[in-house]
Amino acid sequence: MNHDFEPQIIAFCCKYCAYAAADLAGSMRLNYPSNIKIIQVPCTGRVDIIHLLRAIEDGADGVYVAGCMEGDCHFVCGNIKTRKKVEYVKKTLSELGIEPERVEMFNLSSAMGPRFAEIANQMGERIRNLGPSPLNIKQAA
Amino acid sequence: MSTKGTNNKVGSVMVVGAGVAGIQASLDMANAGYYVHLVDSSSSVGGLMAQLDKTFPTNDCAMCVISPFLVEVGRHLNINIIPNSELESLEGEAGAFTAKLKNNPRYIDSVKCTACGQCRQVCPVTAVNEFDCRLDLRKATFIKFPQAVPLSYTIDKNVCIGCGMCEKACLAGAISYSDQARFSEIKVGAVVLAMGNELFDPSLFDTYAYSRHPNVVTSLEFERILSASGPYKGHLMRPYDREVPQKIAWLQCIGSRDINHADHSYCSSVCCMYSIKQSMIAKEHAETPLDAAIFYMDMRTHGKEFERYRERAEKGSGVRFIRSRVHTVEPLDDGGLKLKYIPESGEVLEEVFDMVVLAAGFATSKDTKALAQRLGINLNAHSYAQTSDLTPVSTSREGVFVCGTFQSPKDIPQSVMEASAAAAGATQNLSEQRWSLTLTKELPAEKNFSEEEPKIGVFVCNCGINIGGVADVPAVREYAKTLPNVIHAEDNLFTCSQDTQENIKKIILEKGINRVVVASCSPRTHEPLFQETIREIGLNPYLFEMANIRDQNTWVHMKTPQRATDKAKDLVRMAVAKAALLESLPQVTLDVTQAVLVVGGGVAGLEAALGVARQGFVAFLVERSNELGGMALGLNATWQGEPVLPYVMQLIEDAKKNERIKIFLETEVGHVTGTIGNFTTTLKSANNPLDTKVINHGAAILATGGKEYKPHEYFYGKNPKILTHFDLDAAVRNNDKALKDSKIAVFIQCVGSRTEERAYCSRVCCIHSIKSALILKKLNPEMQIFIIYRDIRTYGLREDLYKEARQQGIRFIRYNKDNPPVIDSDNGQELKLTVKDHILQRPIEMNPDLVVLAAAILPNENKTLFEHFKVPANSDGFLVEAHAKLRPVDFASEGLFLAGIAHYPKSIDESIAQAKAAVSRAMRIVSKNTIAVDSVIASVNPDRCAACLTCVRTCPYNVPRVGEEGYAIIEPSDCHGCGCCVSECPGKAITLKHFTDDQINAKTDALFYIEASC
Amino acid sequence: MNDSYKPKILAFLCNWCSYAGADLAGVSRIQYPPFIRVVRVMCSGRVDPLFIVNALKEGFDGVLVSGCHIGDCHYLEGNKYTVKRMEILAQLLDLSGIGRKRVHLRWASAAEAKPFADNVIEVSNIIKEAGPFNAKDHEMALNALTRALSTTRLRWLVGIDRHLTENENVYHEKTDPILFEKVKNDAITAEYQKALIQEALSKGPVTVREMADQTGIAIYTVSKRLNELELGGMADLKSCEGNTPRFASPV
Repeated sequence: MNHDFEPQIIAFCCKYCAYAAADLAGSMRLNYPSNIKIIQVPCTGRVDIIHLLRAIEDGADGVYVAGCMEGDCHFVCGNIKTRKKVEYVKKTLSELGIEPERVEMFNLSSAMGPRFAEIANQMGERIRNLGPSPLNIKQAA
Repeated sequence: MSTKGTNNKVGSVMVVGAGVAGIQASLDMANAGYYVHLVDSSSSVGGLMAQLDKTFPTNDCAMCVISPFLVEVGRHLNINIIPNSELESLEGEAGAFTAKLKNNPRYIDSVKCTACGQCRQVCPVTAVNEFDCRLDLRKATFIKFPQAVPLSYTIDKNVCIGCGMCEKACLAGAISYSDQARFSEIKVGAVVLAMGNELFDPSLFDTYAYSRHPNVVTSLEFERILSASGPYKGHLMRPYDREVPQKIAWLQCIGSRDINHADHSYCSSVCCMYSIKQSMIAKEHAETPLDAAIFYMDMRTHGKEFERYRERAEKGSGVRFIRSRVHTVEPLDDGGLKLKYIPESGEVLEEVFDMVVLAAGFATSKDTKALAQRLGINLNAHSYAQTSDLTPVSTSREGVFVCGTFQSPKDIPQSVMEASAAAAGATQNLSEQRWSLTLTKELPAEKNFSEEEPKIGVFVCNCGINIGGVADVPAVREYAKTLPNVIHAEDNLFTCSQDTQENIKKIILEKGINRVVVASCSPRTHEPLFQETIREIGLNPYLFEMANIRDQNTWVHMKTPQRATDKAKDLVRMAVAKAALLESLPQVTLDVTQAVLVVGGGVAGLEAALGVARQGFVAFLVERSNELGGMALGLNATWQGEPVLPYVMQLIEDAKKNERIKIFLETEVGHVTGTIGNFTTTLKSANNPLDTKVINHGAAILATGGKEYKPHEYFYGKNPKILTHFDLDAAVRNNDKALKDSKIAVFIQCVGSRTEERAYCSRVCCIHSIKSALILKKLNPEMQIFIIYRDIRTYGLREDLYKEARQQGIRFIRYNKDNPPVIDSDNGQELKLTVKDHILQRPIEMNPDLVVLAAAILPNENKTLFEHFKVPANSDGFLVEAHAKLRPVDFASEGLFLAGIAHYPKSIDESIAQAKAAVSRAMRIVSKNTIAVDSVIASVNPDRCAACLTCVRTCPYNVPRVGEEGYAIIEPSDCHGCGCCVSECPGKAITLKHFTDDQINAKTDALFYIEASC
Repeated sequence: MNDSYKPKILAFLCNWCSYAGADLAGVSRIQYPPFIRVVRVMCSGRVDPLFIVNALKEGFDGVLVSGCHIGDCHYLEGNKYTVKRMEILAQLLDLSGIGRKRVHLRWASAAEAKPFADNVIEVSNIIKEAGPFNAKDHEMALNALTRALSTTRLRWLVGIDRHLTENENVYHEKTDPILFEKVKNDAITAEYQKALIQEALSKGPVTVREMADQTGIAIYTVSKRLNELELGGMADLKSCEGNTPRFASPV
């Protein structure tokens, strides 16, 4: 494991739950690694397979989608549809020889600030253990 | 103040109490043309619901559900939130009241306060945190909860020592120690009381050890323990030693259904359900199996989907339900709690639990009683607002309405329904003043930048020291200047302050900025503010992007300032990249047809049609049968004993006389097209399908009602001594001599309800049986009356009936679902009934002269009708609302509403309230000439569309359809803007505006191609 | 008590009164026990309670602080602040079990050679009576005292005390002295107990019961104080063994 390795992770967060939970983690001043960059989407249902693959292609070491709890989606079922897309991307990556664990789907409610921080820590740790993405040119070089 | 017309009525309304009911009433009225003053004694809106962790029966997160409402009410141009204030007096009369308010000082200016929390960090004074139910501490300077509205701190003067530390820490200059209590007067046309309720204080009982032991908590304390934002951050632990409990007991009816100690003989109506919810959520929290036991008297799961919820708890989650009232809780040395109780079997049992939750009931607060007295509002014997069943939201004072738990104990959806109903009631007589006091914003024309290169201005906020104290803001600012398309970058102490807003406008004009990026806090709270600012000088609000460098950066990376600075730069670069691709989105408006279609001519339909007409709009009332009145025609009295028939006759007469109501009898709904604001519906004669008529309407209310189940159990229909409720009511009306002559009468509950086939509780039968039993007792005081039941569900104040029945000597015998009473009727005359008594533990036999079956309530069958409107029904055939908690009257499809038994079995007062609520909800649409359509919507590029139907299958709201031209069509007014279809479309034919693929990818790209983007 | 026991006492003397008083005692050849070691300060108000805790940590058996009489302070009111500080310190020493007997405040003017010597004799006797102070036995308590006395909350309350109780507060009112006393006492107890718990937390993941054992604080009180620490970001849930969670200081 490379100790100098600082992974870059992108988190697609839905406006209603995950993004609000990230804000709450802030209000509660919970610490998590700074290498997670959040992109807000109206619903995780808006997250397209190409967005996940594009992030990996750009060199992201990890990407995850965080939406409402299953059954609580503000738009009924966007999160469930996207879970399937995430599974698909995982499969695609493993066919390409890239660790599917670099991509993940999480569900949490807007009141779960601590859970947001926990996920960020978990994902940071997981990606650090996996090492740089083979497509991460800067790190791989 | 301008007043239209000749009368002196005032086009504004005061709502007292800003809990979920007060918020709902305010939003309904403000969106239907009235200016609303929303008064609350606390520092934030939100009430009790904001304290809850999850809500039953969907286990939705309470804060997730309510916070969009908090934000909407907080930003509404026509809602004036008046926190920290009391209504002192109300003079004048309906239509023109003068309300006198006492505005208590807040000591922190909520306009200047940025909720950064520096004052809290330095405050040396601690006090118990009421929001977390005293489980932890807050400071003397505090904010009620992180999502509070107004989002501002306040000083608790009762504990403040006046040291001045907060003023030194506040860089926004928001502290104002010179604040004084003020008195103000406001003229309003009506008042809605929604003060809510407080919880019963169990410290009055010594036997439960509540005040002696920290592991005995109230239900609200337990909500906070479960809450992720609560004292233990959502980890289930017990207060005494923070151990994870293995066994938790819930004790029901604490302070309810008790006449010995608490003086609250009523049922609080919600505790059974919230205890089930808490037991299931606690089990979900626990990593090792948790033993949850609920000790109860009757399990009252009488609401929609409640019975199934209970089944799930018992069968699925393994929650133990123990029918017993625990008499002692004895604390043990290790923090455990020994319970002594006697179950139905009669033996005395002891069991040790790690925690005990007391299901505390509702109680009217002293303040509320005092307010009612000041306003001259009559309270009933239980200190709730006195109301009639036929006017369930009207108080004893004209022009003053009531909703929520100040009316009677009730759950959230019922409160929300009543809130809308009270809104309809309050505005009904003010309709000539509609839009007279509401404000509109005058805005300059939008500038067209489509030909211009992006010129981006970046404003980086220090947020006092909240951002600047961690990240190097000047470095971020200088970095922003190097990014492509950025022509200006600056940093501000507080970007959201009033003077900075003016400065931003000036600079945009000076430098010709056409895209704006603000790097500060969260778009969730501040995007609308900045969007408004740029719109004021002609920029389209969508030419704006935010980088969240506080909540999601400096607040969570405090200990690594260099990394926080780097991340702030990354986030600004990503925001700038998206900003370069932003496009103006047009604000589309549609004309509205100002009429409402009401389907169903029962009480709910009649009330809805009359409500619409009295609000000044046309109502089309469509009834399938040849008469109006529906089920109510067969009912004698409401639960409080008010005669139903004269009321229904009056309704019918009023409807027929009203010029604005067009009645269509023997008519069915055919084809329905159109969207919110503009529906076109074909009506057809029930007798002749070719006889059709087309009407246009802006909204529709479905009140298609229900019917009584005709039992095939217990020889019903084969023996004249066996009746249903409706049969009995008819017999009473006809003075049937057989009733009076009966020596033994038996009521059998749950006939056709709570069975495998029909797993729901019909809600009204327990009450109707007891009420009827009391009538029989009056007819013949010698009559022996038995009520054979599974759980008596006289919820809320209806418990009075149960109490009276027991006092009158009516006997109650409980049976199990597996062991129902048996009737023997060989010759069709003499009846023999056998039932096993659970207390005596042996069968009882009797020969009743009268058997009344509490038959289930079924929805009317309307499959085709529901298909025409594309509205969903559940497996029992009841219509499904948009949201079980906060949108109980709306359908998920905009512009369609529901009321009455079509939604779920309910009593007349509840149907009336829901009908009035549906009117209120419809007024949000039809009271306007035009409605604005959301701009963030999906649109189809016909050239790329292969009409593959993926979008049709994907859309959660069934909006896309393939039109005659052979490509998918998405109605802008129907689209909710989630973007699901966009990311599923294989041909990439659909785009979601403001979240296009290019815009999203630009952010990702910008994060990685630093050089490329510079 | 063994007569051969010679306590080590650190004495902070103010430049203008007590130090001059000590000099005068010398000039006058007034005799007093040789146990004190003097540190001259410009004003007794300069003596931070942390100096005193440090003295105890570093092997002194007791501390004497001596300044001008109230009203005679060269810096007008410096010694009035000293009084407030010493009060808080005394309360904390009692809480810690070390006891206020180790630390004493006395006044002596430049002319009071005899009273100065009498003070030294009196304080020496008290500390001799108390016996040797073994800092090792009180390591946790001393560290907690340092921690508590370093908090902004306590330092601010000591500093603001006289302004609030003698003058008007920011509301242009007089702060209710009972309320202020309560706030101050709450703060002293809370900060000391939190500091002790932080000492326990700093040594690695601990359970509530272990913390109660180590600190001598009642279990429920530990739970409540722990909660205050968690809200302030000074303690975290680390793991859960069976049903017993372990807490530690954040990394």
